[in-house]
Amino acid sequence: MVDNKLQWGSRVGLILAMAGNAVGLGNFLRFPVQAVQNGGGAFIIPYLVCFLLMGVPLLFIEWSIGRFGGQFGHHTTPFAFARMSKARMWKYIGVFGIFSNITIASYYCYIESWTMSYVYHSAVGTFAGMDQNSVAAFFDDYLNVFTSTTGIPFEAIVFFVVCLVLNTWVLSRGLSGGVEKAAKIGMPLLIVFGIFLAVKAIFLKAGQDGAVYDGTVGLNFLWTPQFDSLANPKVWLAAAGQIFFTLSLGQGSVQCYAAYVKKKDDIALNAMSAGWMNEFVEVVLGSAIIIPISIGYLGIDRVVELTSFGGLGLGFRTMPFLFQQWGPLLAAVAGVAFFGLLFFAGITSTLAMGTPVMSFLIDEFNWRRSRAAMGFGFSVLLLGLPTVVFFKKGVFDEYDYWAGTVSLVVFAMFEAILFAWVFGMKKGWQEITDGADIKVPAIFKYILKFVTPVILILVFVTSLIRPANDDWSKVSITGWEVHPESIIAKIRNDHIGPNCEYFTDTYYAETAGVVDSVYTSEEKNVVAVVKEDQSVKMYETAMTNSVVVKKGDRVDAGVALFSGSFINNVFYVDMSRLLLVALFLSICVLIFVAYRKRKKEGTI
Amino acid sequence: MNTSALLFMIITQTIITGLMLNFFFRVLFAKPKVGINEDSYADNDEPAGKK
Repeated sequence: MVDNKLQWGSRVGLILAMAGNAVGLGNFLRFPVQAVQNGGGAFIIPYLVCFLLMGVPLLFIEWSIGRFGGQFGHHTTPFAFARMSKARMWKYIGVFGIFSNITIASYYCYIESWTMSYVYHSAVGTFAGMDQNSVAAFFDDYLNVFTSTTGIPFEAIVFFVVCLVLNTWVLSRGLSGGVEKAAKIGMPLLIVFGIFLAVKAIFLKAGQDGAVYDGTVGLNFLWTPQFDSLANPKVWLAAAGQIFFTLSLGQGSVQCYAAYVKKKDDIALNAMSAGWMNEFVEVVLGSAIIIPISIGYLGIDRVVELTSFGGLGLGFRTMPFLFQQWGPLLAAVAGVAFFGLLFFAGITSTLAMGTPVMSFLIDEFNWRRSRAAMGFGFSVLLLGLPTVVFFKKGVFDEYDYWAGTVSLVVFAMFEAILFAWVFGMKKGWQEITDGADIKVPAIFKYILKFVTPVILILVFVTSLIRPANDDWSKVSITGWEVHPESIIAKIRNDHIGPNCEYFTDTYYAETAGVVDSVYTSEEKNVVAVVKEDQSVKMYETAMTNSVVVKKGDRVDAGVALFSGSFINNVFYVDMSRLLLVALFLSICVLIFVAYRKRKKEGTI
Repeated sequence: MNTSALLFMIITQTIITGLMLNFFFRVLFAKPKVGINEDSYADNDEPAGKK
């Protein structure tokens, strides 16, 4: 008979797996960028306040809900929620705890595959001799599934599938034999790689290895407190957002891992240990790598400009070039360490996303462990392929926005209300403190009941109605222009611009400017338009479509650039949203079927 | 680095590293609970047949 039981091997293994769940690419790529964009050293104050008032309470809530559900054999949020309240809606809100994991895993696994590929390219010296533009172009080529940087056809898909197979294999080995072993190898290696790179960054000297500034210039920029930015709501919103992503809250994975902890065992100290380990990796190591190194070579202005494109761009388009300045051997070591570190951060997180999906299939449909792992792998493959193939069409960003951002906030808001107000703080506090190896300060009882739900509601409402340019003084009863990243603007497709039809015979300019050049490159017609801020916007189309502008033409948004036959990005954006809605509804149906089955069996 | 940045960095990083180590060592050296026959961790289980 196959052993289908999932169980943790050791407490340290659980802590490392839980910390691995939290530690992700965002610790190294998102946190420093957020800090740079939000006042440098002053960002850390709202960040730590949000950690104490939102992060720590949510950790307590999620660990408690997980262990509570586990007592009844429920290792996922839909049925754990159903045990906490008789109202039907809660189990369907719990669906977010499975939905988010499958969806985030499907695009996160793709980023993880980039890190795997970049470890290989760093080791074999692919980046040797390349200038900064070539390294950036290499990344763009990699993202195009039809080009190959290794000679392997459809390389991006191949690396994605290899990465997914590795995740599926580890998951099929169970918690103690798979997830925990991966965390016990990955987390220490990640910290060692991180310390190596941080030391190298801090001791970077101007004039050595091509560096223009000392590494401490970057640290100075990052850590100089700017207390005036504390009054800016944008900084607080960014800090709250970062706490969410960094602790993997509102996702359902913490609850699932904690569901395998028995009632009399501690969760309070475990939650603190894993949470602070994540903070160590993020604040101590994450702040000491990419910003000091990149500022050391490129200067503050250029790095601030680069961070406007996000941390992924800085990590993959710039870092391989900077490592080359350290000579061939150190460049290879640093590249392997940096992308290896990102790989371990990624895989320990995707394993945590796979576990709730597996547990759901095992708990509710009696699937064998290996079959459940395959079920997860297959779902992620189906859902993830559109992000790989149509990456540049906006599918990846849609998944990230709806599943990796909005769903987390909505889910966490509801679970905080469920825990403190529906389940009740008396029972909730009992759940947190049962078997605790530390004394949880009583003030958290009030924070959990009043402060955390209010903060979460505020985060949700501000995400919904965020004003343009984050100018909150413009918010009025008569209406205001919303930020393109606000939920309302996203639903209305405000960011789409003039190319708003699915299928069309004309492609229009998206912004005003002057046509700088018209040429053909790699069997594509290209039009370069210099915008009013002097940045260049490139438009590309197949050779079968014709260009209707010429060099020197003045174009406004909505002026025709190409004629022929086009499928606009809005088509892919809307299709990916439909796919996500279909996935959510499918999981709801599965929950309905499983609930009826349990009712019949008398197990709920 | 300027003094305020240096101080701010050292204080923040010391607090975070200290709390991380404090909680982790408390987990490492936590005494097994008395009166619990079976805990959550397989490594603590006695091998089959051994009483």
